[in-house]
Amino acid sequence: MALNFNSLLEDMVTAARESLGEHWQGIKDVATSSFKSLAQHLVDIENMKAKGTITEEKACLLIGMQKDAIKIAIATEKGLSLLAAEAALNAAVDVVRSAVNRAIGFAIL
Amino acid sequence: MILYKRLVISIGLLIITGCHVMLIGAYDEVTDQSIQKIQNDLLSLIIKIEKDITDKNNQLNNYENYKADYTAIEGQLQSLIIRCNALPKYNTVVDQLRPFDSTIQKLEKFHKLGFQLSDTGSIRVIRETIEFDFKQMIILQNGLKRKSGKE
Repeated sequence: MALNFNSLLEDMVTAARESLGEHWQGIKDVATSSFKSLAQHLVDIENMKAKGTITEEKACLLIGMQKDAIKIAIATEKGLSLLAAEAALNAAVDVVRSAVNRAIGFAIL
Repeated sequence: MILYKRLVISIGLLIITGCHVMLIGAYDEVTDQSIQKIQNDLLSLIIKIEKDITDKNNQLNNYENYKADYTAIEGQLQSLIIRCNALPKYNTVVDQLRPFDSTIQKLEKFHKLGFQLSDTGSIRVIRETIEFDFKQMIILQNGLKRKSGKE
């Protein structure tokens, strides 16, 4: 049966949403964009295979590239999450530092 | 209880010493520029292959004509991975570079199998996938740049 882009995309999004739970909202946009790209390429590869314009060996290489792309996208999301968490933590530390200095009356910290 | 005490002491020390938390490495201009250089070289290679297929000059796409280009790009990428492995808290950037290295290896294998005139669809998928990869890497580099206040 031929791959359908919309079904494939929906399956990927559903699987990721169920797997990530509350963390899904934070990465939804980038993840969905990545899945759209992956789904379209998988449909394209399948079409090429069906038409005989690509061998199985070449199709496997192209699919492997899609898997690599997802790993890269996941690393991007992880990096952006770390940046956001770092900024939040440092903002909190700065607030506490300011409060301590104000309470004491001079900049001990 | 012990863990809680350690956490409180750690946060206290951070506040006292004026240190900031670092969960991910600082922006590194050499890394950013290296990614841009690899992007230019690799996309030039792919576009040349595409044009030769479109112009029906496919005999020019013989892998042997590109072997030196692949070696140069892979050399640049390996040097970059070595650099990023040495930078503090740069493992997330390395987590991008390693699968990207895998993609270039796959492209090279595909090229060794030979590009046919019927491979217009394949080369388009390859180009779009690699453009996607570079976009992801640039997104993270821009995030690191914003952190450093250099954007």
